[in-house]
Amino acid sequence: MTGVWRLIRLYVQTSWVLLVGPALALAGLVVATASGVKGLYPTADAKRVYAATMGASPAGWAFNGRGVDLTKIGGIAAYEVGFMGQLLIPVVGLLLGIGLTRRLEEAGVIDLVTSGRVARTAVPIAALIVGTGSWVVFAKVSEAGLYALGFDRLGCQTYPSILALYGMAFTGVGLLAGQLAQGSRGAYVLGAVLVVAGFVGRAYVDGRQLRQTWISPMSWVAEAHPWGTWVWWPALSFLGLEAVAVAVALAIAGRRDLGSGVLPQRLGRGTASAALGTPAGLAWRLTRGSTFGWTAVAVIWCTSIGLMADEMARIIRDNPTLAAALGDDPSQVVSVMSLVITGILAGATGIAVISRFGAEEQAARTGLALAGAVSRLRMWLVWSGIAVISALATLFSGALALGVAQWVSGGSRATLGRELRAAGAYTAPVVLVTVVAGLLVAMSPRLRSVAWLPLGWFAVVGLMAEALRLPRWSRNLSPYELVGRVPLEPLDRTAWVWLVLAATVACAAATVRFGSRSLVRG
Amino acid sequence: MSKSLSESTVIRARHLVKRFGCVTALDGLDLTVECGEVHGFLGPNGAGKSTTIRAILGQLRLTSGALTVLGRDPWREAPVLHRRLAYVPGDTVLWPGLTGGECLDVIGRLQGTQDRKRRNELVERFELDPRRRARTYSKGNRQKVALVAALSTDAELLLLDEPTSGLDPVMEERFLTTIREVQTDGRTVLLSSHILSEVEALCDRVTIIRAGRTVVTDTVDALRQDGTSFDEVFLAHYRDAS
Repeated sequence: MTGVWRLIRLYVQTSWVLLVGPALALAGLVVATASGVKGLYPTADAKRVYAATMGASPAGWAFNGRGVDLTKIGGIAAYEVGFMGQLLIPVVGLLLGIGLTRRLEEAGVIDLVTSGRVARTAVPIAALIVGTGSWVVFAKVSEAGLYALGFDRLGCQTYPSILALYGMAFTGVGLLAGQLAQGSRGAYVLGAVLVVAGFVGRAYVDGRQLRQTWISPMSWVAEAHPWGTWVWWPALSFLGLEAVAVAVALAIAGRRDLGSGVLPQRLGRGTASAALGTPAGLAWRLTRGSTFGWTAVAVIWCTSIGLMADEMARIIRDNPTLAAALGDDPSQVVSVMSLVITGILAGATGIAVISRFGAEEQAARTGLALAGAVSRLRMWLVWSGIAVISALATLFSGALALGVAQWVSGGSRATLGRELRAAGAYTAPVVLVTVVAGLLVAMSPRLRSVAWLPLGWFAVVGLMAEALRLPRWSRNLSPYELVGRVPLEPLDRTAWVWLVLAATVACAAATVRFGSRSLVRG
Repeated sequence: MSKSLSESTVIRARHLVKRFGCVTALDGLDLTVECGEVHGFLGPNGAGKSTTIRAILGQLRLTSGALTVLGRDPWREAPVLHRRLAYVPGDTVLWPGLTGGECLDVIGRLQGTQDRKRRNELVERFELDPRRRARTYSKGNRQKVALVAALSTDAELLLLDEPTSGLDPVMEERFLTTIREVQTDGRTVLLSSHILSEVEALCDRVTIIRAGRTVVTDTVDALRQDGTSFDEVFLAHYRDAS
């Protein structure tokens, strides 16, 4: 335990953005969703209709989890936080658990720290304490926001508390993953596999209304009934999961060599493949993981929606509030929802790929590569091309999955062509998002994280515009809105052409800028 | 090896100035490296050695001054030039997900004149395990990857920026042997180093710089003609310039 307080001070001084930023963003998501829901379902009748439609759908259960206490506004808010909360909270927990331990160990910080009067086990203990502090910030800010909105006082305490316990449990899992894997990348992959497995397990149990809700921690938040009669076992289970994960992490930390892990490292190839020695081969090798990851999310999302499309359309038809908010052709509404989110995931692919170029430059590896006979113009254009192609591959993979799933569930092959044609409408926003990220990287690689901010807003518009009752002007800041809600509405060809022109100008500006400035490291 | 005999001066730098905002990294630096010589490039930390090498690579746009490398402008003609030179950075950062063997092949192939046989010989000589992921390498092993990648090419000019940092004494000795072979081949080396014994053992001529300016350029023998050690020569010039 020696050195825990010194480490806590160090974490607060050096990692405060990681400790406070995600906590506030998650609290903002919870409070904003609650605010939107409150306006959408103001009367007891509206809440009853919601419970009878959204709350009675196996597709909805599989997607968002079991709806409980849906005749109360708090219960509806919790259901609407739904799958976003189920995925984002453990992801933040993993970021904290791994980011405060293995990532710093990889950077050499822990070597330096533990050469002083700091025990090896102090590192995960201090990370656990500051991580818990982060979740307390989340719970208290959420509680204050919900209370200010006029939600039930007890629920304002219990709902954020059970979400914080959920996050703490995954911070513990992150600490354990950070001890098991030798690198932070391996730890994040291990954590992501657990999150996806937990979500799929929960979707199966909840979708089929099985009784084994204990199987996945993602079922436990609803099982606690935070807006009804409080049930203790889920809270205790979260604490138990965290305690076990932390105990194993501490046992490993006390025994392993610094820099090593428990999972074995395989030896790789002694020589590079022929393609790896080319700019395109190198760019693809370094970015294919993120491309596969985002594309897999898009395909899973679209397949799930496609298989449930008919039922979701029925829910929208039966819920007048939803029908009024979303439009009068429910099956097309489902396609729009799927394709806009797929377009945003495709934008994420593009940003991730082009951002990697900036990361390479900051790590001095671009300088090493450009010491060879490849011009910087060629390297830049090839990398930008890979970013655009990868982004479009994500978009069309999702659209293909959506069309095939709808074909399988509905029996109409026409949906396949419709979804692929509709995806074409979203090519312009996807390319623009990617190219603007490229322009930021070309200006300075330090700006690459800024590219994620507008995409975050486009995601809020795409997912929650109705729930948050966003004004039209703020929705139109998203290029995904500007092209029209295809296939529900016809493509706005003028907007599409303007977006393509804007992307062309941004691409030219990025190329000129990268060609004329010094590399930041080399 | 494709060496152009008509180019007797490989690097010609006159009054180089490079400013980063209000910081002046190069303040009128002069440097001349002749064909076939091993040229030592010395100076304290922050003197501008790495900045000069990055300018020679065409990775930095100079504020003013004239620089030619193998008769070409490195900023405008970098790709053509880079086929004729190879570079070892002072602190090599590799792609952590690739193996050491993949990293040195990537660097070698992007340079364009990698000799596979020579590459395999050097992997053996520097006792490098090419199947391990770069993220598991020590600083010395990362440096070996960059060295093997550069030395296995057919480059006429080698730009070595503190190439032996992190290497153990046995590997340092093998590095000296390898550079002597390179010298025998008639290739040109610009060697930036803080290890004065290494510079003394390898270099024909030396340029000492400080605060972005050239303090002196001469042969090693001329610099220590009055019987003083090379360490004392360096320190004397360092003191005179400050």
